[in-house]
Amino acid sequence: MIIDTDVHVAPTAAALDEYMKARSAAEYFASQRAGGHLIARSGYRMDAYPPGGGGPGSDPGYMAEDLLDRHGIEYAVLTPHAVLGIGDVLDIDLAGEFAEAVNAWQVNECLPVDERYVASIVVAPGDPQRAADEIHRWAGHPRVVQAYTTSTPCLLGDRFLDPVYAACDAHGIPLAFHVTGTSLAAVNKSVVAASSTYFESHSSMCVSAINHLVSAVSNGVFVKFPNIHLVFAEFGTAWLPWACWRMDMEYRANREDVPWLTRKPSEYVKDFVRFTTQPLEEPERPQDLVTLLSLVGGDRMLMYSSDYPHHDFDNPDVIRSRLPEEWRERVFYENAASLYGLGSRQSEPQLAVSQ
Amino acid sequence: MTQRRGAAVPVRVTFPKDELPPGGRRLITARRREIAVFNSNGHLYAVYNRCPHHRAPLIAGAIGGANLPSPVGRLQRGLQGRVLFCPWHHFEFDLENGRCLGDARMRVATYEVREEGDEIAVYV
Repeated sequence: MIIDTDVHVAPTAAALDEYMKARSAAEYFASQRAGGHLIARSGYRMDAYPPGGGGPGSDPGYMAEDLLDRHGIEYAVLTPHAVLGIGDVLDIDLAGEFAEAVNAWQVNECLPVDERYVASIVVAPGDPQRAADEIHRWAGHPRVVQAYTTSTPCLLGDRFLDPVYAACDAHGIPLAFHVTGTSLAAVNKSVVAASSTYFESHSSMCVSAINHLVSAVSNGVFVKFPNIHLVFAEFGTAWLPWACWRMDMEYRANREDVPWLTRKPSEYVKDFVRFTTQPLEEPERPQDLVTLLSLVGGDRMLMYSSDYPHHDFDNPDVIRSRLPEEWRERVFYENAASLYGLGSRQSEPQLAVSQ
Repeated sequence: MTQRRGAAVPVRVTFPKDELPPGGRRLITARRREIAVFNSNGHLYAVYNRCPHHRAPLIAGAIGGANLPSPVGRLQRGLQGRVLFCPWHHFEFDLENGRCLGDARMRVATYEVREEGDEIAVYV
């Protein structure tokens, strides 16, 4: 059984315009494209174009066949593609309206198509109160499992984001934070400068992840909001032991900076943070990655993700072959089922409400 | 055709030449293997239809050129029409020999393919 925790549904601008109120989706996309660098060729799988037209991910019916049926996926957590560059859109009203249109589109146009889809509440991070309102609007929906954002204007431990965390905490849902960073606006602001090529930004994605993780832990996000989890999506995994060990080491020497932490920082990570697998690192011997991650309890923190329909799709059959038998059920199913409150259809006829 | 010692005699699969014009591609099956056959500007190529990395269907890949090893900051384009890009992760494969340009140890199987009269014959 598989739960795919990062599935990039990608509505067209025309589809979203049905749900935009004062602005247009085209305005959003044009704002997102300003600056940055591009991936050579396409950022999508070349074989994922729906036969009925539209771009990859725009047809939830075709996506169900091409991804869910083909690979035997029981649940797909939708993480809308169009939001990956939301930090590029400096007009926070436009970003907020766009996020709300994406949410309405997901619930109205995707969820009814296939019962295996569950949705993420997209929020624009530049306006945390509006984001919180949007979380309150949708969190009670039985097939909405998390809030979801990218490219925040600050590190994740910044109190600026407290309204977002408070809303997630009130409903007991996770906040997923997805990698991005192909433009100066979207990169983590603490990184010295934006990368010049896709190779460069994609190779160094863990830099911002480490910054954000350390920020969230050290600033007490999980102390203030004990009902939330953070999901780091598509940041890679192999850097995690370093970050955990480093924080634990600093805690011994500099605990006075973070006296609200009453346990080792790595223990907060184990309890409150999950990581999607794609792109899973590929050392020459796959077992070396397993050895590394097992040192910090990786089998209970990783959740399989495909990244469909993006070009760097991780085939579940290949990923399964790289993990030891005793990890597979947890990484492919149990960790996500537990986090999102998803029940197996083999034993329960109804989706569990995530609370 | 040269054969490896001990290798089975290749199976010859044919189809009409006009079914694979320049720019065309076609999937065939032989020996229970899917083979992707390409006509790139009149050059015929045949490769196993599974990327050795994540098993993507190579028939869906784009064909183009590649940036050759070059001095820093001086891009030099080459191998035009000879490079197959995997449709998923964009790994580059030289259609002449199946070698992956980014990983010397990775290779996709290639097969003999040629025009024979009005037919295209693939030896698998």
